[in-house]
Amino acid sequence: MAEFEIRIPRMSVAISEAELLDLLVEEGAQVSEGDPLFLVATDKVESEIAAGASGTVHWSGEIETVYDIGAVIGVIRTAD
Amino acid sequence: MTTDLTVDVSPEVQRRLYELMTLMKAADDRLSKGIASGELVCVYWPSRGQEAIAAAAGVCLREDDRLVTTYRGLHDLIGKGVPLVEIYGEMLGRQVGAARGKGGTMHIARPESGVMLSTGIVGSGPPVAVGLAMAARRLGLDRVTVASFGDGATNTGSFHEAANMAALWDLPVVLVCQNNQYGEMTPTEHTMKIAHVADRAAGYGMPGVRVDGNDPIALVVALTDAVERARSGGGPTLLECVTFRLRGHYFGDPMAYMPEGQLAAASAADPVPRFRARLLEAGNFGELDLDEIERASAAAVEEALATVLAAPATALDELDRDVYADPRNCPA
Repeated sequence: MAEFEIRIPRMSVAISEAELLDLLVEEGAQVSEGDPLFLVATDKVESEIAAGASGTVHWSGEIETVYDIGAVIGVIRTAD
Repeated sequence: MTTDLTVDVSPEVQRRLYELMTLMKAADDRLSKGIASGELVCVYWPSRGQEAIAAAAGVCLREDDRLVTTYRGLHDLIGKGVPLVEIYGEMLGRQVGAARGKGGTMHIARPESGVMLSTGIVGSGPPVAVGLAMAARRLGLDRVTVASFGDGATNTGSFHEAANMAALWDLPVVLVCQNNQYGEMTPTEHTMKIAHVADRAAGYGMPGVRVDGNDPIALVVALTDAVERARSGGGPTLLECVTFRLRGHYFGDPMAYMPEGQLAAASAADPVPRFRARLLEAGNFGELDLDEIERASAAAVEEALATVLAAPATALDELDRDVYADPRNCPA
């Protein structure tokens, strides 16, 4: 079983942090790559972030918290 | 301009064009997926949708021909033969990058492939291309310099100065305007009175040619003509290639400034699936041939990315290397 780290993405050029606005799947949920996973807010723009891998989601980040770009907020445990 | 696949370019060139276009698309798709999911942290100005222009330049230019491109240059760099590891390495700040990871996305150069400069300032490339063309002439070399830039660049003073000088001295330059219909977030018709960028050429006394920038065959025909003119001493050409920027100005751009329906219409004219359909229709290639080309492009991208991610990050001692010939001259 491999782990794909879920990170706060850089969705704009001039940002260094973003707010984790909402989680779109529950702890332990199964997702497929490309499924909507969480929402971030930067520069007053909300972005929906898709799953980068397929597997079981485990969150470590807290919503309504500001994180640095690249911060790990969870993992997706993949089958391979 | 209507082009005929069967007479305008050989099947070998058609295959090369599709290989390059799918590699450019796969490189953009993988980067986009990685940035969007937080897997890759870098800035990126996407070239998705503009692949046909860069692929045509890739088959029309010699290795020793020169290219000056812009921050939206992933496709141009691939077309001119810069290895993907060196491009991704630069974007992701690794020692395997073309400048050992210290140039970043905006400043990728690789003289071994003829790429002398990528610029971050709109309109700053054409004057450098003029200088490179003057150098070729002084050295007695028959190489051609292409400057690749957007529609917005043609509104700058530096473009005007470069175009005027290139025409005046019949320099071996091809000015390739990738008119993707937006300068950052502003539509082209809000920044210039004329409808066609190519019409500017008349003001400099050089040929201006407007071509479908999503048709690789039409682009090869037009570029072959412009490159031949430049190489044989006939002077520069302004080539306006009309295309569209499918992922916005920067990666993550919500594109709220676009009129409804414009992106959908542009996506329907996506040059990569359009060329695939055209190749199938012409009959030199079957579904399996083209599937194999796409698979090979995706595999090449994954391999390059794995190499880059396994490479060390750019070291701190790179900071002042290559900046001054003698670091003792570096201002304190």
